[in-house]
Amino acid sequence: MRRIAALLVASLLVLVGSTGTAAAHAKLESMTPADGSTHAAPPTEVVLTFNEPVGSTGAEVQVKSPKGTNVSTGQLKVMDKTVTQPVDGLVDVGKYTVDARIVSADGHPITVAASFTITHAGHPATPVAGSPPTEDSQSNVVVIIAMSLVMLVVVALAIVIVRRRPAPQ
Amino acid sequence: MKTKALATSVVVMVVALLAAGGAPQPLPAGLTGAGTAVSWAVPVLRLLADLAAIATGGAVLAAAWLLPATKQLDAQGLRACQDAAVAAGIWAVASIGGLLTTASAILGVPLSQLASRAGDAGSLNQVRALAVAVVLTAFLAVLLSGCRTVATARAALVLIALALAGPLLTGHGAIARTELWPVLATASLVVHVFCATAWIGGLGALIRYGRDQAVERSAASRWCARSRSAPPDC
Repeated sequence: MRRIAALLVASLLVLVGSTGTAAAHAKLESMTPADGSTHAAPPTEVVLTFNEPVGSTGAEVQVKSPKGTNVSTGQLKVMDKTVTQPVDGLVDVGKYTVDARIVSADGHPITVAASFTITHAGHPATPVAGSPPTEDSQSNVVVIIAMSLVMLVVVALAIVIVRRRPAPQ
Repeated sequence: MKTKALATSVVVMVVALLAAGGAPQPLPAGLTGAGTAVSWAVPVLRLLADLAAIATGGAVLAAAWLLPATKQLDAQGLRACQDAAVAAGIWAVASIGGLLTTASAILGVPLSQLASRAGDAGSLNQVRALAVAVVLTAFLAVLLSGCRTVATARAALVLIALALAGPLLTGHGAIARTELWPVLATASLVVHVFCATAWIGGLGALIRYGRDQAVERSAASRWCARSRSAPPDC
C-alpha cells in the first residue's frame, strides 16, 4: 500500500516536472517584419506565423502608426498557419504597433501584440478599389434555422412544464 | 443548496480561468471583438450546459439502470425522469445561448450584429455541433417528461451520449482529423466525459433518489463493485 502511494506520488512529480504548460491555443511564433526589429524601408505587408493552423473567420489585424492611424489596408489572408495583412501609407517614421485578434482552430480567440520600427517614411496610401473591411454574409437559411431552434427549445420547455404539473385528482 | 453549488462552481471556474490564463483578454483599442460580456458568457454557459448534462445523465442512469424496476418505472424512477426532463431543458437553453455567444465570439462581432454575418456563423463547426446538441436536448426534454418505462429511459441514455459527444468533436484535439494522435486525444476525451458524467451524475442520483434504505444498499454495493474495476476517474 505504502509502495503504491510512493509510486503514485513519484509519477505525479515526474509528470508535473517533465511537462511544460499545455499550450491549448495557437501561439504567435514569428512575425515579418520581426517583433521589435528596425527597418529602413517600410514593409508592404505584415505576416503573422502561428504554431498551428488558425481559423480564417473572425481574424482582425490592426497596424497603428506612431500617430495612431491604422495603416492596414485591403483584406487580410489566412493561409494555414500564417495571417497576412497588407499595409500601405506608412508615412510616419517611428514605432508601429501590431494588434491582432485571431481565432484558434478550436474556436478560442487570442490576442497578439507586437511592434516594429521604420526609419524611412514610405509613400502615401494609394486608394484601394473599394473593398469593405468586413463583408456581410447575410444568410436567410441560417437565420431561419436559428429561429426554429429557439422555438423548438421554447416548445420543449412548455411541454416539460405542462407535464410536470401534478394531475388533478 | 443548488444555487450555492452553482455559485461555487461558477466562482471556481472564473478563478481557474484567470489563474490559468484562459480568461478573455481585453482587446486593444481599434479591434472590435465580441465584447467582454459575450466573451465571459461562453465559458459560463458551457459550465451550465455541462452541469445540466451531468444532472440529466445521472437521473436517467438511475431510472434506467440503478433503481429497481421491472418494465414500468416506480415512483422514484418517475421522479428521476421528471427531474431529468427539467435538467435537459436547462441543457437546451444553455446550448442555444452557447451557440449564439460562441458564434459571436469566434466571428468577433457583437450579438446585435450577428444576423448580418449569419452565413459565416452557419459554416463554423463549433456552431453546427451546438445546433445538433440543441435539437437533441430539446427532444430529450420532451421524451423524458413523458417517460414511463425503463426502455424509454434507456433510449434516452443513447440520446444523452450523442448530445454530449457532438461539441467535444469540434475542440482543439479535432483539428487534424486524419492523424493518429489528435484522433486518440479526441476519443479519450469523449470516453472521459462519458465516464465522468456517469460517475458524478450517477452517484448524485443515487443519493437523491435512492432514499429507500434497501434500495440504497443494493444499488450502492452494485455501484462500488462496478467502479472498483475501473480507475477512480474512469
